[in-house]
Amino acid sequence: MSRAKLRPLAMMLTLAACAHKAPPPSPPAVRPAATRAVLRLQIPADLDPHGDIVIPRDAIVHQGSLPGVFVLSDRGRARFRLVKIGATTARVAQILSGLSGTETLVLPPFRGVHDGTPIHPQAITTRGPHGRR
Amino acid sequence: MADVDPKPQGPLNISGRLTRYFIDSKITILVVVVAILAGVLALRTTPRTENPQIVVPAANIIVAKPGASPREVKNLVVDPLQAILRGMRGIHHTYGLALDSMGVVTVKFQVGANRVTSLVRLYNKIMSNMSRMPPGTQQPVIQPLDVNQVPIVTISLASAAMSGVHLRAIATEVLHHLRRVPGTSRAYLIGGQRRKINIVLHPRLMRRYDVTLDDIRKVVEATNVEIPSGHFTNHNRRATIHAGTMLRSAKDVGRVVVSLYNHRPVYLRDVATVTDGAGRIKTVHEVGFGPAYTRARPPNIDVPEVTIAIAKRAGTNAVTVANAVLHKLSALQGHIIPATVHVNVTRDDGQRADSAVNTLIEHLFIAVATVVVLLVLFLGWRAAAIVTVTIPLILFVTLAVDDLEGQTINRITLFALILSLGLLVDDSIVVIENIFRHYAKAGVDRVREAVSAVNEIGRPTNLATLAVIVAFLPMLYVSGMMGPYMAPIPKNVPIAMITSLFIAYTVAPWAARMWLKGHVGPGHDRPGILQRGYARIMRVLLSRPFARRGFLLAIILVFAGVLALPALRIVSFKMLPRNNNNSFDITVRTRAGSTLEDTDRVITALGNIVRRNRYVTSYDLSAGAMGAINFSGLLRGETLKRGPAVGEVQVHLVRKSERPLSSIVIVRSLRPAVDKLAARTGAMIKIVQHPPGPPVRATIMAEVFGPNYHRVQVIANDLRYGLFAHMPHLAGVDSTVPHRSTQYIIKVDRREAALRGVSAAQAAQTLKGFLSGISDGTVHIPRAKEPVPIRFRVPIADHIGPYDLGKIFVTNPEGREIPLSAIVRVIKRPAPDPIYQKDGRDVEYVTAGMSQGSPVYPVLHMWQYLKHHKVDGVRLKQNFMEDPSSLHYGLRWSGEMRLTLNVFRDLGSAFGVAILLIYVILVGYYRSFAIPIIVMGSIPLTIIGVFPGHAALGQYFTATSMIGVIALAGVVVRNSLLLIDFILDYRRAGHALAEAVVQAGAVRLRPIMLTALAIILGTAIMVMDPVFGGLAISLIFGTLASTVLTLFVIPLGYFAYANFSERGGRAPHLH
Repeated sequence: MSRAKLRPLAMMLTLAACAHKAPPPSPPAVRPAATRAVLRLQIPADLDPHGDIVIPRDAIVHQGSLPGVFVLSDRGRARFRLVKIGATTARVAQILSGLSGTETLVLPPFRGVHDGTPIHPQAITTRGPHGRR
Repeated sequence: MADVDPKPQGPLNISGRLTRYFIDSKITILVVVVAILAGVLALRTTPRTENPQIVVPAANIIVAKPGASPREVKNLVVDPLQAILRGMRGIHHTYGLALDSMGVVTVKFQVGANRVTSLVRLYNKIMSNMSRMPPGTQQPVIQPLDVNQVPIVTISLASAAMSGVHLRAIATEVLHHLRRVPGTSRAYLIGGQRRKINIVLHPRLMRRYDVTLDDIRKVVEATNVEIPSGHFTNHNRRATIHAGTMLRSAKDVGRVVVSLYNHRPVYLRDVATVTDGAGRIKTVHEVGFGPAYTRARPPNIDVPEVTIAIAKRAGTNAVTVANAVLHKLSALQGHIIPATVHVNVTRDDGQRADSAVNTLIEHLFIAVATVVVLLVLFLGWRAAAIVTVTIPLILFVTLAVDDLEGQTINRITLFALILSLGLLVDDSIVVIENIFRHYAKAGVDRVREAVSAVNEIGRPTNLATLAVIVAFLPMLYVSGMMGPYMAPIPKNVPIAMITSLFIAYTVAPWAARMWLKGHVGPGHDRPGILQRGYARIMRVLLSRPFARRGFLLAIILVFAGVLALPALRIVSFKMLPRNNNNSFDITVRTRAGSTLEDTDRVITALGNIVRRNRYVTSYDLSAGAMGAINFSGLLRGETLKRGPAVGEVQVHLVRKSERPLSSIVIVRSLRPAVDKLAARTGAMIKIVQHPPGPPVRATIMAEVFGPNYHRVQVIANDLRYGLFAHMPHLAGVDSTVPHRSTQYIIKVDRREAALRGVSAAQAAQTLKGFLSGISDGTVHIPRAKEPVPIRFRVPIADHIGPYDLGKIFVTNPEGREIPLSAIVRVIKRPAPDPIYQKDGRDVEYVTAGMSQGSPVYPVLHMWQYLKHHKVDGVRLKQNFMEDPSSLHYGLRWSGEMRLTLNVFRDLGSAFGVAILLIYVILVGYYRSFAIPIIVMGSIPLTIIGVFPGHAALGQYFTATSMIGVIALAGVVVRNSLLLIDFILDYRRAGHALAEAVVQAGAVRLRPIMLTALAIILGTAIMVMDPVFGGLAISLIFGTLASTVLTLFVIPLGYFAYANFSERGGRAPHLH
C-alpha cells in the first residue's frame, strides 16, 4: 500500500524540488555602446527618379541571410530593419521597401554593432556620401 | 468457502453474497495486490496529454484554376465542390474560399468520426467527381488537418552570424536525427532559407547575345540529365553505366553553354549571375529573448531562427516522445549543432502534459488527505484506515480501466477522479458504519455479522450508486467538440462508482473483519448536540403547521430569489473561462498590399512590447507565414495563412508554477500597447489565448448572409465599424471584407501578338518567368538533404513597375525579338475580393475577441440592437441555431456564443434525461410514484447553493458548473434516499409517523453530514482552478445548501405526503 502511495508522493516531492530550483533569469545582455557615424535620411534628397529611397550600399548589412540596415531607434540603439534591395551600384543601393525616409541609418564599420547595440552618433550627415544618382 | 461459511438468516442479496465470498477469501488480498499493480502500471504507461484529444477529421481541398477570377472560381470550382461534398454522410460543415486563380474548400466532419474512413471517403468522392471539374482546373490538393500534425516539440536554432541557408542545413541535419526517435511522426522546419541555385538573368546581356529565357531553360533542362544507360561487360566483370552531365554546383550551372554568338559559346554566366544561396526572402522567422530567459543571451535582440517542429504519432505518449526527442537533441549539441547556434526548446507539450497531470495527481493526494482527516475525526482511526485503504484501490482500478480502453490520462480524467472522490468513499463508509454498528453488540460472530450488515444496507447503497451513475451517463451524449472534451467525466465517474461498490463489498468487510477487533468505542450511538438540536427543530416544525408552512414558503422565496441572480446578471454565463497558459500568440495581418518589410516592422514592434514584460522568456517572430501551428490554430484555419501581409508572434512565458501572475493578467497588461501599435500601423493585431476547451474561429462571430455579395460586404463593414467597434470589452474587431488593393492586369493584345507571330501563351509564360521566377529542375548535390532547385529570375530592380516591360523580350518563329511592351497593355484596377462561403452560401464574417468578460452579453446586446435597427436599410434576420434563409439578408451568431448555447442545451438535456432516469429507478425501488418525487425534491435545493456560490466568488457559471449541477443531482438524491429509507424502516418497526421522521433524520444526520463534508473537502482543491473552479463551486455550495435543507425539507415533504394520504389531514400527535 505504502509503496503505491510513495511513488507519486516521491514524484510530487521531486516536482516541488524542481520548482524551487528554477534557474534565475540571466542578466540582460551586455551590449557595449559603439560610436558610429549616422546618416539621417531626408525626402526628397534621398529619392531616386522612381521615388524609391537610395542609401549608401555599405550601409546594408546581412543578418542570417536577411538583408537590412541598422536604424537608430528612439532609445539610441541600432535596430536591424529588414529591407528589400533593388538596383545597386558600387556605391548606392535602391530600397524598394522597408524604409520610409525618416530614419537615421547607422553607418559602418559594423564590427561590434548588433541588433540592439547603443550607438553614440559620431557625426550626423544628412545626405549620404553618395550624392545624386 | 461454503463449508466454513455460517448460514445467515434468510436469502442474501447480491451485496451480501459478494461479501460472504470475499470476507475470508484469499482472493481478496490478490484483488488488492492486482489493483495496486494495475494502477501503478497504468500511471506509468498510459499516454499523458494536457487535454483529451478531440478527433475532428477535417481537410483542406485546394484547387487551382489559373487565371480565373474569384467569382469564376466560386461558380466553377468552389460551389460544385461543396455541393458534391455536402452530399457525403458525416460532413458537419464546408467552408469555401474563392481567391484569384485558386479555390479552397475546408471540410469538417462530425466530431468523433473515424479519421481514416472519413478521409478515404473524401478522396474517393473527389476523385470520382474529377470529371465534373471544369477544364483548366488542376488536380486538387487534399491536405488532411490532423491533431497529430500539431508539433508537440518545437526547437529553435538561432544565429545572426550564420547565413539562413547554413542554419537551415544544420537544422535539416538535426531533423534527420530527431526523426529517428520512435513515436515521432511529421517533422518539419520553419524558417531559414532553402538553398537554391539562383540564376539572375540580365535582360540587357541576353539581348546582346541574342538568347531568350526559353532558350536558356531548354538548354539547362537538356544538360541536367543523367540516366542509367545499361552496362559494360568485359574481363568477366559487369559495370553499370550512367550517361549524361549532371549539374552539381552553381559553377556547373554557370558553365552551361546556352547559345553560340559569333561562333563562340555563350555561357550562362555571361548573361546571368549564378549564385548558390538563399534567393529572394519570402518569410522571416526570428527569436527574441525576454527578461525571464535563463540561458546565455546573444548580442542581438532579435535573432534569425530556424524552428524544428516535431509531431508525435497517434496513440503514443507525448511525455516519453518529447523526452526522447530532447534527450537526443542534447546529444547532438556540440556535434552537429555548433556552439555558436542558440538552441531553445520553445514548445514542449510532453512537459506541459506531464506537469499538468502531476499537479493534478498532487491535488488528488491533497484531496484524499483531507478526506482521510475528516474520516479519522468522524469514524476513529481504525474505521478511517479501512476506508483510506479503499480509496487508492478504487482510483487505481479506474486508471487501469482507462489504460485498457486506450484513453489518455489528462486533466479532465483527473478532475473526474477528484470529483468522484467525495462519492466513492461513501460506499465504504456506509458499509463500515453498519458493520461497526453490528459489532457493537457483544459476542457476535464476526463473519456472519459483517455479512448481514452488508446485506442490510446493500439494496439502498446499490440504488444510490446507480443514481449517481445514471446522473453522469447522459453526459456522454453531449454533441460537438465539447462532447469528447468532457467525456472522461461520464466515463470515469461511473467506473469509479462501480469499483467503489465492489471494493466496499469485498475489501472493506475483509479489512473490517481483521482490523475492527473489539475496538468498539462507547457512546457511538448516543445522540450528540447536533442530533438533539436537529430533533428539537424538527419537532417544532412538525407540531406547528404554521411554522411548517412558513418554513416551506421561505424556502420557495429563497429559491425564487436565487433564480433571479442570473437574470440580474449577478451571476454571468460563459462557456469556459480562460486558462492560465505558458504561452500565447499574437497574430498580425497588415493592410492589403503591405510588403514583407512592413509586416516585419510590425512584428518587431510587437517584440519590443512583449520583451518589456518580466515573465516573458522568449518569443518567436514570424512574418510572411505563421509559426509552428497549434491545435486551436489548426481548427481556425491558420495553416492556409501565407503571404507578405501575414505575421505572428508566439510569446513564451515562465512556467505557471513559477509565475505569480496568470497569463490572462499578462495579456491584459500588454493590450493597451498592442492596441496603440495597431492604431498606428493600421495592422490587424489579435492576441490569441489558447482556450481550455474546444477552440472556435473567433469568440464573437457574426456570419452575414444575403443574396447580393456586394451588399453583404457593405452590411458586414457597417456592422464592423458601426456596431462592433462601439461595444465595450470587444478587442480585435475584424471582418473578412478586405481593404482595397491594386492589381495590374497585363493584357496581351491579340491582334498585335498575332501580327508579330507570338502566341498569347508564350507571352504569358515569359512574363511569369520574369516576374515570379521559374524553378527548373534541381542540381544534384549528393550531400544536400533538401532538394536544391535551379531558379531563374530577373533582378528585382528590373521588374519594380509596369514601365519595365520594355526590357523583356519574346522571340517569334522568325527569330525576331519582340519587346513585351509592344504586345501587351497594362491596366491598373482594384484587386477582386475573395469570396467566402459556408455550407454553400456566400458569407462575410465579422469577428471580435473579448478583452474581458463573457461574450454572451455583448452578443445579446447586439442582437437586441439589430432587432430594432436597420443596417444599410436592411432589417437583418438573426439566428442562433438554424440556417438563415437564402432569400433575405440574415445574420447568424456563431463563435463561442453558438458553442455556449449548444453546450448548455446538451448539458440541459443530459440533466433532464438524468432526472428522468433517476425517477424511473426510484419508482422501481419504492413502487410508488409520489415518494420518488419527494426524494428528488432535494435536487432543486442545490440551486439555492450553486448560484449564490458563484456570485460570492465572482465566478462565471460555466459548462463545468453545469456538470457540477448534474453531478449534484446524483449526490443529493442519495442523501434523501437513505433518509426516506430510514423513515420507512422506522415506520415498519412500528414508530408513529412524526417520531419516525424525527428519528430517521437524527440517525442519518451524521452519515449525511460526513458524506457532504467528504464531497466538499474533496473538491475544495479544485476551486482555484481557472477551468474547473465552476464545477467545484457548484459541488461545494450545492452540497452545502442541499444537505442542510434536505435534512428538513425531505422529511417534512414526506410527513405532509404521508399525513395527507393516511390521516386525511389531521394534526399529528406528538408524545
